[in-house]
Amino acid sequence: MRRITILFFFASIFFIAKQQQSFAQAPIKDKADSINHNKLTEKDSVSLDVLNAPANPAFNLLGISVNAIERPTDLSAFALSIKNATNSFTKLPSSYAVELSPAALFNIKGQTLDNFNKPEKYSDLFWQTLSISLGVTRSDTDDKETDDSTSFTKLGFGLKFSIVRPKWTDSTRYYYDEIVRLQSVVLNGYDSIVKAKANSKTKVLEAALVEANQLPSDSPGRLEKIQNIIKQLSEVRAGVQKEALLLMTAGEDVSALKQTIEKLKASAKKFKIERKGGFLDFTSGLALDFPDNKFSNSLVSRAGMWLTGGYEGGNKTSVLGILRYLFQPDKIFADDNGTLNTKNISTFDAGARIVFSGMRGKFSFSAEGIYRSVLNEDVISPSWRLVFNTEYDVGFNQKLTLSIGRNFNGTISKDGTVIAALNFIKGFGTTKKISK
Amino acid sequence: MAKKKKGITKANKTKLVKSVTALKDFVTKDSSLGGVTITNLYQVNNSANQVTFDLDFRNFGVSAVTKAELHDVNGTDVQLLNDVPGSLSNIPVGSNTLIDGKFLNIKSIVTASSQTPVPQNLNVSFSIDGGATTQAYPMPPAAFNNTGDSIVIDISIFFFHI
Repeated sequence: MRRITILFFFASIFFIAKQQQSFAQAPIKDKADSINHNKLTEKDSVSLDVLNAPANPAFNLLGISVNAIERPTDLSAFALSIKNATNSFTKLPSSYAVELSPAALFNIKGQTLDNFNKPEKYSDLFWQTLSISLGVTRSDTDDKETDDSTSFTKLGFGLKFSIVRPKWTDSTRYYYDEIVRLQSVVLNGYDSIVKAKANSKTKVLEAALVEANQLPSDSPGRLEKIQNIIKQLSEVRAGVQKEALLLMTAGEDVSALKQTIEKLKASAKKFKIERKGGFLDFTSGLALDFPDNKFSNSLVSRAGMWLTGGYEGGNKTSVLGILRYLFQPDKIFADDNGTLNTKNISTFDAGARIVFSGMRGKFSFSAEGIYRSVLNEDVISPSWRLVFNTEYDVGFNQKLTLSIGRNFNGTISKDGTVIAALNFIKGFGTTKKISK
Repeated sequence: MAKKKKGITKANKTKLVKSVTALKDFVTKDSSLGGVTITNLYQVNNSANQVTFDLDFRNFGVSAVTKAELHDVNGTDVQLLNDVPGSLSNIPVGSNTLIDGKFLNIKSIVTASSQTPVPQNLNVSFSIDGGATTQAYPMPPAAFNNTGDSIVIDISIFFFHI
């Protein structure tokens, strides 16, 4: 089963490499087209300096999330989370998760930036927020991440979308309006140049089209004449656009327009989404255990669905809550010693989390408490979890987190069930934290 | 009689050097502005039905702004849209009989924001409805290679009858 973990890791790396390769090939493939279609840009590196702590549904169901109650996020096409909480960071991490956004990967309708703030219809919001996650970890029966002989591989699958999403903050709205304003300036500049450059040939061809259209419908060769003129006009217009773009990007007389193009590029690069307001997310998922590390022998350890809602305060205080139903056909999360008959246990969780952010979202401190009611009360007692977590964004795709608290399956003083982990999180993805 | 000096003059040479430099910059510089054009036909009928168009920008997280006009070679142009952001759906152009012999000119600028996965190819669907048939026009290839890249889409459709 260790092989599955390694395979999963390399498959993720391969997926990223493949994506970058296919993206990189696009400009090469279109090199010939660039002459005809005025494609002026060259391949550059892919910037990925946006990282969130592993807080996807797959990690959550595997019981290795730093926090069980997640803040809402804006997604990108692909995100890979790696969690390393062991052995002074001297070995490869044992927990990985990938998170995919189908809308970003497959360019589903209704994903323009203006639609990210106020989607026209619910389906747009659904696609913008839908994420599918897949995670793998090695841990023991108490979900403690370990690599010793008691550990085995666990796989988690998750699905998440928003029902209610907070709107953009005023500053996000301001930066978006600035992008639109700069786009308008460039577009109007282009329009003026094209109109000024539309030579007599363009006008002659347009007039010829109108004239041919006025011929009686049964005139011989009328349609062919129209088609022939439109073909000529197409070539002339392509040439005019080429000249206009050349002038806009390399001309000496339009320095103001060139500066606007550079400003537009810089504004689009710097654009970050911050949201503020009420939200409600739906999450569902399934976790599989492979107790003897054989693919042919798996147990559904946990399946469930939950609602996460509350108030996202952007870079200030956020208050979140969770209502979660979990069904554990083969294992109970709150099992104290593993001796109970714990098949087909249903639990219901209710909890809250408060998050204080500072230093423009680089630092955050949160406290989370969840009470677990066991619906089959005759089998096992209720339990609770209390976790304090602090995160610091170290820099380019690196984050330090420290968690301490009590998990569902015991007390701090008993059996070492205290959650205390210093995590170093290294990410390759582009999941965007709202309060960045 | 003095012979006329052959070859290029100093002034022309300077101009040529400047042109070549500009062209070189154009080809080699990592410019952020590209463009595509569509020049095509749309068949109208003899009805008073409204002709509409859809322009759907499908790249995730792009910002788009569009302006459109009904261009009359022998008359006054009518502005249909002025710097409208986002995708456009069911935008009225005019009745079939009214727009016969005129041009629908649309100009859009699409910019890849920090939310847009790059590099990726431009993905825009453009179609016209309400005339003889519903027609979709394929978009010529172009690509966003870096965050912040923009592509200008310049469309001109001539309305004709049979």
